[in-house]
Amino acid sequence: MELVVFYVAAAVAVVSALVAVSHRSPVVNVLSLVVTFFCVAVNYALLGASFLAAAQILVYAGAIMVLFLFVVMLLNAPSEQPTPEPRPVQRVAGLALAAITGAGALFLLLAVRVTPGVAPIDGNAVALGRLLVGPYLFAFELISVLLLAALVGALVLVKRKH
Amino acid sequence: MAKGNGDAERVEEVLGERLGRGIIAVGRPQPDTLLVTIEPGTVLAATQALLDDLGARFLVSVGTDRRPISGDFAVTHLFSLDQSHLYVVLECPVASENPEIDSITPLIPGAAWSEREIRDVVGVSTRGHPDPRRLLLPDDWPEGVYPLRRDFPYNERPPAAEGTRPAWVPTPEGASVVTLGPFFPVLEEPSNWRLFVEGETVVGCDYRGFYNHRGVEKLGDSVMTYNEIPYLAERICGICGFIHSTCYCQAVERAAGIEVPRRARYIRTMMLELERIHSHLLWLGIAGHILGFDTVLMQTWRIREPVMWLAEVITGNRKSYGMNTIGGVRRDVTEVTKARILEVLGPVEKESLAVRDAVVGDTTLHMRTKNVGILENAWARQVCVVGPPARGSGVRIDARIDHPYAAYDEVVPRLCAHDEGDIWARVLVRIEELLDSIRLVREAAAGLPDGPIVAEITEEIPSGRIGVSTVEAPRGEAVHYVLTGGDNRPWRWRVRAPTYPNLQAMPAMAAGGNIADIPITLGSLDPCFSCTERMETVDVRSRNVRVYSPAELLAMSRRSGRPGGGS
Amino acid sequence: MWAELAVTTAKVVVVALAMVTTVPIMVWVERRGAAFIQDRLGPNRVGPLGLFQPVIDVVKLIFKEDVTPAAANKGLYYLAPLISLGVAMVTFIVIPFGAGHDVSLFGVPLRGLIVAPDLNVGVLYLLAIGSLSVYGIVLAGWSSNNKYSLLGGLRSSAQLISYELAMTLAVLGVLMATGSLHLSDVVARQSGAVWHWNAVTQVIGFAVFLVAAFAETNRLPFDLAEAETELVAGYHVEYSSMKFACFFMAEYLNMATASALTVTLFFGGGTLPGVTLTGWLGLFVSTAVFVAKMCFFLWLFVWVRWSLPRFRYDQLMQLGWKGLLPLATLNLVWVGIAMTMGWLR
Repeated sequence: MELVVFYVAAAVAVVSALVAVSHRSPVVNVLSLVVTFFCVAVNYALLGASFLAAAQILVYAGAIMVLFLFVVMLLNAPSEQPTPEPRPVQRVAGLALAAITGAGALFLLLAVRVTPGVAPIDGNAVALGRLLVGPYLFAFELISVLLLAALVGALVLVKRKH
Repeated sequence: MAKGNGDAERVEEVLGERLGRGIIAVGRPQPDTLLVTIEPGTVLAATQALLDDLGARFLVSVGTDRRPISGDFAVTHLFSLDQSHLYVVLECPVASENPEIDSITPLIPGAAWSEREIRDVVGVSTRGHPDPRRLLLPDDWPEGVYPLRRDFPYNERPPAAEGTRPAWVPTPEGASVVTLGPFFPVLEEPSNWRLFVEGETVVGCDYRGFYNHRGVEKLGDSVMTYNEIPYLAERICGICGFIHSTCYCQAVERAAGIEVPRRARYIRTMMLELERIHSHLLWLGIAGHILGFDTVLMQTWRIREPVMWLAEVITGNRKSYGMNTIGGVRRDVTEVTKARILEVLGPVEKESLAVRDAVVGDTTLHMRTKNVGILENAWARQVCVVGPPARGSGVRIDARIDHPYAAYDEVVPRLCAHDEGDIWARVLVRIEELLDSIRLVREAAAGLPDGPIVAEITEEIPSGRIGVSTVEAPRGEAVHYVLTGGDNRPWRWRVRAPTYPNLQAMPAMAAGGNIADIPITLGSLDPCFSCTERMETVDVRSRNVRVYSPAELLAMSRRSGRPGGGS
Repeated sequence: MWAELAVTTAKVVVVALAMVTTVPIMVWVERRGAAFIQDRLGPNRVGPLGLFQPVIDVVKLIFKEDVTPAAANKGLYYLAPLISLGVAMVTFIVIPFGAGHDVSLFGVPLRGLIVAPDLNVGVLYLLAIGSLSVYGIVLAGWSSNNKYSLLGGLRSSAQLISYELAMTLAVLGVLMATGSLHLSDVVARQSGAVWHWNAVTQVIGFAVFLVAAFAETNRLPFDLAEAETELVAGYHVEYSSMKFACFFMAEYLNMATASALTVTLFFGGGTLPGVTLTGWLGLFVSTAVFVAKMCFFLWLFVWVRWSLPRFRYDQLMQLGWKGLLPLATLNLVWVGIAMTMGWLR
């Protein structure tokens, strides 16, 4: 039963991710990305990480992608845009990057031994919280500083314009 | 009535100094009306003199086809000297070969519509008009056909012009258009506002109205007689009809020199104030509705209802009273009715006070109306705004005080004015006026003198006389101008409803606001458009204009209602 | 296995039916309530006291012509009302409508009148799914290809995002005090006495949550997305017949969910202070108490709608960001201090 759900969710995630990068209409791109996020969240939930699943939907699907959609709709970009021909350097760089990423993924897939899922811990929010403010405190704080910097940067950029 | 004599002489003096030989004739049809006939070339100088030296306020311009009488057209600009209680009528004969005259709009922005209308209906074009687009006629009305010329029969239907387009103001750079109307939930009547917006901020707007022009004036000077017109005038407005019939009757009475009995004047005063009460209550409800406060709408309309019943008790009708006639009124107010009036006013006043307290104390309403839709005092004067919008901007004019008519010389109204110029000021002005009107009705009922209710009219109304009359309607000052003719009918009857000047102030009030502010800004003018049975559509594909007749519309609706039955 | 499935199905049917039934009832209450406030009669012709009016309304809606604008983006235009209604239909499965932890059905422990007792992120799930409802509105606004609906859709999505933040922060205070994401735990912590209710211990948080709930449900004074006098009908201006009804139902379902959530988070859920009942009686009584509390908030929605004028868009955003957000943070600080000092149980 769970396996069926997993395969369906994974397949939908992959397909919608492909649509997200390939479809011509920006609105459809954004929406299929939302579907991807949703399916990934389903897979998190299957792994017992229900907190992560909820956070994924709440933050990515519910907030960030809405802003994307906003921008796309407000700009009202024409759906049929002539794509500029990529330069040779871009082609090479893109292919190289894809190769490296693909190799890495392949390596991980082969190297990491898939173990049966850890028994779901009730209240894994508590466990996650302890991890975040325990061993990973430094990284956690660093990220928050990074976000703050991005926020201030955005504000400065907007202010300068006016 | 004898007031303002000295000032009239001063006007004569000033104009004489400025124009010299430009003045053709000076007349005094009534003690408080000065008729100055001038050479058309001196119209700008005369206007400038009236504005600068005398502080005159522009009322309206009238175009008259006098070719059968004197072989020319006349463009008549009406002014009011409020402090001196004096009307100044500036009459310019315009030769019929080349009907053209200098535009006074560069001096008085508020004259823009009047002059556009003159061009539309009598075909006297105005040189130097900043916006010479069509105002009143439908877009597919053929060029060169002028409906208010005497040789145009009232029932003529000229063939529609082909391939015409509405003349829109071009959209400013970087702005997009949000259209309100011609049919829009807030606007009970058709009018089309194209808002130029950047985001949700309005940077300007364009107006197209007069979708429902009914040709009332044409009827008045072609087929109807003096005493039939009051019933037509009453139907100009669905809310303040009595104002228009009173205003028309006064204009004719003044032109003909008919003295209206005191009792009739008092009864008119009572009816006028009752109309103000129910109109202001109605407006308060609509304003609440526009702001999403439907409970105010329901409550004020409930309070308003007994006033309507009262009107029925007095006149026999809730609306369109059929009460006015030249020389007086047609129904008397008996002692029984008088008691009934006082009895009804008690609860109306009590509940109006309750509504006032609820509205004035609502902080959300303050947020929505304070500093919104601001009409600066200077601009209000230039556009010649009238009524509560003017008084809300600190322009202290009120026709009841400036040109006392009916019984307002004895039943004296209070001038309710505020200086802020925002929507809230207009709300306050109307609420204060509402309460003052209740007092006025009481006073008029208490002081009702004995005597006849209608003057004996023994002689025919002489032709060629003019009469200017203003009445302070709930929405502002209404102006009627009558030029008497033979055949027991007026030669020209010009009606200026208060919304006519007020709407012209709308672009200034809308600019800089939010889309959400537009309906209430427009609503704060208490606009009153007219109604008709013809509708205009724009064909999306060809962008051409076509006016559908009611029969065609009906056929179209039947066709689309039946699946597969059409095309 | 089968017994468990049967129990879950039974719960789903009971809860979903109950929630969906609130829609016609609330439509009637709204119309009669408005009439009561406005000193008029309201619908009173169909059935006793006009009670069958909603039935007639539904029949009317079904038989209305279903118009699709020629220039609409068809797929999204059809999808939008489904998203709105779908989201509204699945959010309430984590709300504990009644007690009954000691009751079994077919040998399966019932674990309270709650559809998904195992979902250990209860309230987060609700917020997460609820945050998706914005897509219904935004897509409806965009796909209709109409300026009024686009403006309405943009307004309401901006509104939802802004108020979600304040709402989540207000909920966070409750979760901090509880130390669990389970709504059943939230309810259990508030049992015993009225001063255990979070509405008492976290007054500011409650106020913020309530205001945000009004904004989240797009109700007056925050119904800017619809604002009939400015935007005709906002995002659903082009929708008719049952597609419109989907939005309509979603609005009332969201109202019911918001009321239920308010009761759960701040008003002790189905608990009655000073009364402890067990077994089936406990289940029924707690459900009744829950419904009674919920009814109060549903009425509050109606009451407020007809007593306040509409805000303007920028004023609404100001209230959200400059008013509610700092207040919600203040509430968090208060909860933190109170917990450290041991003032909160």
